[in-house]
Amino acid sequence: MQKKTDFLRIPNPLCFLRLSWNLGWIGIFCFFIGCEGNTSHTSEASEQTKNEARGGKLVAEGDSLPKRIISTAPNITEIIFALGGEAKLVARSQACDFPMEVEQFPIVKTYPELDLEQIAFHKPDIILTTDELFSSEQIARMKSGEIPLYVQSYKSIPQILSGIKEIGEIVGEKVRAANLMDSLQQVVDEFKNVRKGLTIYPKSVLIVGEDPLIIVGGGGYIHELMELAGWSNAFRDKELAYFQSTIEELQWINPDVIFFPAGEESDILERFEQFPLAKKLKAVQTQKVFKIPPDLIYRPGPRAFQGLKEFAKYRRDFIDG
Amino acid sequence: MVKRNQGGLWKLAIVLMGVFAIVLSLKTGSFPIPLSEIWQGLLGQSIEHRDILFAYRMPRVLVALASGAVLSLSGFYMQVLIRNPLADPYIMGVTAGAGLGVNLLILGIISVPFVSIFTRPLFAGIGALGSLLLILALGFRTLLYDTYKLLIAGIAVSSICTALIGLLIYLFADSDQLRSIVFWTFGNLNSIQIWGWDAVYIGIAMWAISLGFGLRYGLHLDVMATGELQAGQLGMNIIRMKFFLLLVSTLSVGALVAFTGPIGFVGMMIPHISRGILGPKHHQNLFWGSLTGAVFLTLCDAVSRIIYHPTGIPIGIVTALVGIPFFLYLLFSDSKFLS
Repeated sequence: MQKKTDFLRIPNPLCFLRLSWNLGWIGIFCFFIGCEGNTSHTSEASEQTKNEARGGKLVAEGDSLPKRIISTAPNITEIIFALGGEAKLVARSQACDFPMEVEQFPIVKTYPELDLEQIAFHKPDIILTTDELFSSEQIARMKSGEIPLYVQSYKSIPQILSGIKEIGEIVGEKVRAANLMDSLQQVVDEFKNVRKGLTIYPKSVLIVGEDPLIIVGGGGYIHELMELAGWSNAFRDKELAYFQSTIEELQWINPDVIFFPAGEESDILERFEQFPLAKKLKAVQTQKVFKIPPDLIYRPGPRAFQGLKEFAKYRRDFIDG
Repeated sequence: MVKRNQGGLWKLAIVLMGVFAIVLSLKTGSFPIPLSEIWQGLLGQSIEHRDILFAYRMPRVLVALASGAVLSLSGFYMQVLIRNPLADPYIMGVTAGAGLGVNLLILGIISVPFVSIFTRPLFAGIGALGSLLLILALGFRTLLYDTYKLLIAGIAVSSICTALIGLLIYLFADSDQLRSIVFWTFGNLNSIQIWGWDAVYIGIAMWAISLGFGLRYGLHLDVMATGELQAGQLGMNIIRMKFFLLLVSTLSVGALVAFTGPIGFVGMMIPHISRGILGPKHHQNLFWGSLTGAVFLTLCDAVSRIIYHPTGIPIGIVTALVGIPFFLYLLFSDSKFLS
């Protein structure tokens, strides 16, 4: 009996280890939840940054325009190239891989952590970024430095278009930006007109991630692209751009078509068929699981409108059987 | 006599709570199914809900039951093995080893030509077994004779595996993989809805193996709990017994962790509750303790889905939130569960 009591009263360092481990994970989870819930705060912060930038030297003309630009987002790099402003680009992020000429430019690492030293090394006049890449804390930290930070936000198609216009002002290519914006707006208007004449809006779902299951909701530009192309986003009622779902919810909705962002080489249908319960989905049974190049939908720039055309092409194929 | 009555009441309560937990879990999901239709659905009379119940909700309930049971059983085994009331199935680095295996798969560092139901448990099992073999390779006899060295070796191997996981994530993970890994690390039953009944078969098999071992060697565990010296004097082969305890715990928990991720505190908490009510004998404890763990985890899963509809709060977080107060209670009080 004495022995047992002694054994039970051994001071145990494990308890503190395990306690701190679990509290740590709970903290991380709360952070994730917090990020999801605080989207509006982040966009408020970025909106403020944007306004400050607009009010500063960014909108100035002539000599005061930035001459050394760092882009930390692939879509911004693509917009700069589309406007012919690449002469002012001094560095890009490791994710910027389009167009091919971008490979000649030095890289500033943004993942897993932003390399502030490299940024300082390139002596930029301005850093262009998006509010999805950095937390509001990182943005605040970068803002506290001497280099102006310009943060864009892309929650809708009009925001993509205005983003192109603003980058045009920064790189000194206002006219080209206006032309590009007009041509893209024309594409949008054409699709709007076509949509009005449609009678069938097949139910579609865009899966962003399998584990956990992340699906495109009704709160972002990707939803708008899908709907413009003549699909009906089955999760349009969800307010978030992306949300976590369950396979049960997916089965309940049972969409006609599933989109999955993936490259040419991967066989999406085969991937789905490997999961026993995914086989029960109508879209899998009828082999209507389509892959869409991730770069065409995840990069809110000119190529997103190619994504729109891809969505429309799949719709035509679907209707034609 | 009082003890016996307490035990009887407890067993009745567990059965009733089990029925309640299963019904609540079947009722809760992406959309509610009325109570009246659950029974009809299970009997196949309501075609509308039959598929949802059988394809999605039933597998989740059964894997939750099996996971809770296996974790509790492994908790019993580890507490006897390490002779420490705060031991749980993860103490010997099972989770970290399994985590390393799963991360190698998620990050694509070891590529497999095809994905099947067995891929993830296989990698998790190899990882868990690998960590166990590493511990034993450090000094088989010394470690199995010396409980404290065994414990320290377990913590060391666990730390090495955790550091390797961190390194792999830092070097190779993209944002999608990072998301998968983080959600797996929280402990999550959502992926069961992808694997369906195949995961149930593995879960039930692990429960049967673990419980079967416990019922077969229940008396040996009683003797071991009184002290290794006494057990040795009674002619028990302590080394062999310790090895089997490690092997059964590692394999059963490793296989389930692959699906559910690490779920903390069930394995530490349930043995104390069970022993506090049913007494020290392992035969009774292992059976009813595993049922208690099964019911507890199923209830936690249902409640988490009610609170955060429809995906639920990751189950590891729910059990930790329930477990930490209990853990602190054990730490700072002379609880009767420890006597």
